[in-house]
Amino acid sequence: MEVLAVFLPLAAFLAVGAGSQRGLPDAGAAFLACVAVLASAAISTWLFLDIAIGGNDGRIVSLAPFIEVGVLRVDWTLRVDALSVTMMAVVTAVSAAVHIYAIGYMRGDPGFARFMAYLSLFTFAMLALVTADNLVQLFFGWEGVGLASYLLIGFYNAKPSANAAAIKAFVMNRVGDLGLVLAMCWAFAAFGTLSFDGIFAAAQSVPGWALNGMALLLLIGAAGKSAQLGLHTWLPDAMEGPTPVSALIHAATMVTAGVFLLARMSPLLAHAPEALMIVTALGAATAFVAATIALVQTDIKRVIAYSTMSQLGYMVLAIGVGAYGAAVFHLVTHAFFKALLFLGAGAVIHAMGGKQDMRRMGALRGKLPWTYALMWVGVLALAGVPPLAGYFSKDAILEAAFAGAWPAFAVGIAAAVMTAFYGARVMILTFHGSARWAEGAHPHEAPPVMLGPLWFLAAGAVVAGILFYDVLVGTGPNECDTLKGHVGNFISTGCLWRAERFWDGTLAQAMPEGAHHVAFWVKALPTAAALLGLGLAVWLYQTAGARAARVAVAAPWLYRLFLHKWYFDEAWRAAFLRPALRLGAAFAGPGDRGTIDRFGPDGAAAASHRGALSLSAAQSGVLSHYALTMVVALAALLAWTLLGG
Amino acid sequence: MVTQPHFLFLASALFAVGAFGLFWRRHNVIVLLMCLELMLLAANLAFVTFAAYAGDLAGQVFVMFTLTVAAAEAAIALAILLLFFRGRGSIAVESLSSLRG
Amino acid sequence: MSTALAAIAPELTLAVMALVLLLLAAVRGQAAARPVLRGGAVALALVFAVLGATAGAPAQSVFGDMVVVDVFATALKMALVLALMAALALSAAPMRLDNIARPEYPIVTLLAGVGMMGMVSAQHFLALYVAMEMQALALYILVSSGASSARSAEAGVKYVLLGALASALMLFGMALLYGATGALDYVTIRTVLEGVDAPGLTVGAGLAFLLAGMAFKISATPFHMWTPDVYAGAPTRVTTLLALAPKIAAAGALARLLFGPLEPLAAQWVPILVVLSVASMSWAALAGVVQGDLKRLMAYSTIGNMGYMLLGFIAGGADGLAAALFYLLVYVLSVAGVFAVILAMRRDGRVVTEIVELSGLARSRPLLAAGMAALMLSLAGVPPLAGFFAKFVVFKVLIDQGMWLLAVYGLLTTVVAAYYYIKVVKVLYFDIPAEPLDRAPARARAAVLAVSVLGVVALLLAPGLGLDVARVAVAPLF
Repeated sequence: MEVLAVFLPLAAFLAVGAGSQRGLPDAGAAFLACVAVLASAAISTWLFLDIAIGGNDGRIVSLAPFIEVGVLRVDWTLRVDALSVTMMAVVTAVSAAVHIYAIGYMRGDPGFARFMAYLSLFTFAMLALVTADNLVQLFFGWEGVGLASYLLIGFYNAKPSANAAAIKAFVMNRVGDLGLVLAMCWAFAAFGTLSFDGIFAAAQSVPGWALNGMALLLLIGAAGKSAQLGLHTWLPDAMEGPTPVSALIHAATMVTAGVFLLARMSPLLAHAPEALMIVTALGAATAFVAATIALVQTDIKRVIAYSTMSQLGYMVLAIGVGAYGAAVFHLVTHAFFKALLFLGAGAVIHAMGGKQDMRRMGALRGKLPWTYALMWVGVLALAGVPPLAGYFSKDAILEAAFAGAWPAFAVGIAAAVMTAFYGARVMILTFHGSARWAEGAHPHEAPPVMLGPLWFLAAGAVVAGILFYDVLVGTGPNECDTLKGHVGNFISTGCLWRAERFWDGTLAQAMPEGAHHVAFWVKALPTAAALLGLGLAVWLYQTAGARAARVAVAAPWLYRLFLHKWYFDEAWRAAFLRPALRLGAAFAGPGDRGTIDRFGPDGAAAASHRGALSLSAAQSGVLSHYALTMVVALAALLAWTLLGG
Repeated sequence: MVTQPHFLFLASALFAVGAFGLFWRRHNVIVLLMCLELMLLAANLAFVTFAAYAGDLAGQVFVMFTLTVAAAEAAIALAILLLFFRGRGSIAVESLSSLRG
Repeated sequence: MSTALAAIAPELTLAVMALVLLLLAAVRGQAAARPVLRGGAVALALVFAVLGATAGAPAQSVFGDMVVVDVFATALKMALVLALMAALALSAAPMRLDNIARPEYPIVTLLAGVGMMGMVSAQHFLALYVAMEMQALALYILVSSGASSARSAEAGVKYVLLGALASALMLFGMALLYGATGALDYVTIRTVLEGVDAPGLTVGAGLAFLLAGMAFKISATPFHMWTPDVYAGAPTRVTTLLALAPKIAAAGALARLLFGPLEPLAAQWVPILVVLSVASMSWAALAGVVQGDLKRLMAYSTIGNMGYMLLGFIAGGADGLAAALFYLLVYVLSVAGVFAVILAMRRDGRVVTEIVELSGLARSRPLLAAGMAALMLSLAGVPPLAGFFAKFVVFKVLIDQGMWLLAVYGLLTTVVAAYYYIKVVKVLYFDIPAEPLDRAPARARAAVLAVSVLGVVALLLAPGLGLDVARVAVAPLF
């Protein structure tokens, strides 16, 4: 079963990819890809119910030996436990929604089949990543995800900006990958194994500084994929890809890989408290900075992109304060409402004929009523308004943050205000107010094939929090004996669940102990923050349009800082790109060609060339010379065996 | 009295002569062929000697096979040489050097 | 007798089919060329099926212990048959394009195949000698079969004379070992040699002669001199065959000798193999650098790769031999694809083999160029292609045996040799495009290239699998 769930998308990729070269009709490509991913989603859901909810033991399915070199032994295996089935269920569910949505969104595109094939490849790579049983296989999926994202971001490969964005994503991710590779090397040197069980079992036998070092390298890897501050600049540019890709990258695959990596390695991270402090700080900073940037962007997809980055900051923050369950919980709820927002934005863009600038929208409420309503669900869930999904997961993170590191809590609350604000801003600018459409725009509601996935995701965004809060991060006294039927019981009887039982040891802990005992105002503050942010947005944008502009004028430097994304791209360019180019030129000129080449490769090459010519001369073509060589060689052998040997 | 070592010495000497002939006075390829033939026969002589002194028939049977194979080999070699002569008009060893390097 | 005949059913099938096809050719003359080619392919397929059917049978010695049929023999024969099939398949297009209607070509190839199959089953000096001569005589004919080409005939003369020299050396070695042990069959020789504390002069000399002959067969330096000339002079379709099948047969025969009757003499032959291997690796790495002709380059590639393969023999034991066999099979797999590309090189109906003719091939024939590039990178040992794993495995068994100095040396020569493989890739991708090559539909060639490239790439998924197969195959020898 597990094997099917993971490999069906791969099969779809191969079939559709091969078919697209030989005139497979678009309908066939869509059918193949969607059926495969739907089947995969069905199986994943069943696995989730069976293993995570049903409490059956997880298992490790061995497929084939992969690398067997000395002490390094790595197998192709599928690890199916509470954490991976949760991820599988989320990944396949969102992916299925995106696949179906793409049928409508990409209709008529000449690269339709290719697009479907890449989507399936993306899904497969992510599934391979989450079901990895060792770091090598995880890395395989990790790189696969990177490759698929490169292909998809650069899908419109005639567009130079798309190619640039694809390369940027690839390179930025490469920086992170370096961290992961170094972490793998270190782990292998320290533990002598790369399998998760082996690493966790030996975690305490290694000195603390080494664990901290590994944890920081892992953090670098996670920061690259999960767009944490510093390595985040690829994420907004990734908007160059078609919108379904954005949804997939931002909701279920790719960016969640970093958070997943940290959650998966949590038994190791738990022994590296110093590194966790840095994780916390990075997460909090990311959440805050990204939220400020999202405040002022005018491209609808960019706002949502920075929102993703901000939410990823929350997840990393949760990891940092030891609330691993809360991090995964937020990952799950975020997958639903973020995919919903992106696909909704896609419907808007589709309706506006490809325009993404919110200043050219407005008053779309009447034209796209369903999209409008569903997107509000997504925004409220994102803002953390009870009882929607985001409320539960963000609450859990902030409670844990309060218990662990109060500055992080304060930053998180500030970001929560901004989150609600920019969410509402998107809605108001897009759907309310006056119509500021470009000439010749004829907005129209999305077709059912695009609305269907929206409905499904909206349902998830509404109920995912209520259903799983208790299960994933519940801190109760364990009043339910089995999880089976718990989800129903929780609502009817309020039976409480201790999340440790659900995670079954796959995470170091679901929540830090202190998070159970926070004051009521701590629980209430995030909700208040959300309402404040919403209110502010309405006050600034809805009642009279000029107010927002006046705020920007009042603090021009702040506005510019946010608008230019805190000048990260510029800083990167000045700090690394330009010196690197200059350094490269210096090395290539006098350094490389003058010194190294001359005495290194070129010198050796010249020497071997001379040797080669003399050998070539020995190959004279004269039969007798050859015979002589053989006879002399034989004589030497004889002398050796008879005298020396 | 001629004993086993004598025969073996003769065989080794013939073999060496053949081997030397391959590159000593190289005129044409036919001479090389004859030298090779000499080396094969030297080996045969060694076989027969060992077989005779050990009272074992296997070595002598081996020689029958060797002779047959050598005949086939010579036939093929001459045929190829003929082909070469037709193309190049010479069977001097020196003419066999367009392939080299 | 009937069990004996059943045991050599694959060889018999091939020989009988060859004779039937010969009759057909005799009756119908040149017109029989295509049917004979097809018949040859069918015969090989049949033999492959027979081999597959008997693969699991227990080992047995027949014909008075002259021939042994075990997993090792069967596995190598299957590889041989596949190599012969590839060579035959690749020969179809060039023969059609050159207007050569020669039914003899497939027939002689099949007869060579009979000899090669005999070599890996031989357990007796007589059987080995006869089988080896059978394949050698057939190959001499094939090498000189180039259509009215003096180069082909020259290659033939060189091959037949040096080959005869090699077999004279082997024969003399066999005679000496026979004299020292009084036996011709491997089992008795081994028993006798095991009983001897210090091997005498006769044994030592016999060993040296025998190894010299075998070194010629596997093209190990300094017995390799024939290889570049014969590879370059022979028609390319024959070079293809030469690069693939005889190497498998010779390596199989060498393994049977070294780990059979000569096992007690390991202390004597290991240093010899070290010298041969080091010489081959160095010579090939250096001399290959200045080659401009692709066929000649592949000859040096063969020499070098045989050197790496010998490293596995040197490491010894089941693991070492398995590594060597794995290396050999990966090498054969890659080379089949390379020759598929070389056979595609024609311009204006003329065969070209210079490396520069491939300039900018990536533009005009991206698939062909990509395949060739993958194979070249694999031969250069670039991870994660098969060639890398093969080299890695060989070096690893060496290091396990404490011979890390030799492994390091091998690694160094790999780096030098990588230069000329990567140069080909550079020519393919970065040089100014030459006139495009002729386009001739050849499904067989595409198939061989595809199998080769896919094999070289797909090994990444399960590098352990090929090695496991090799381990099973070499088990009967230990």
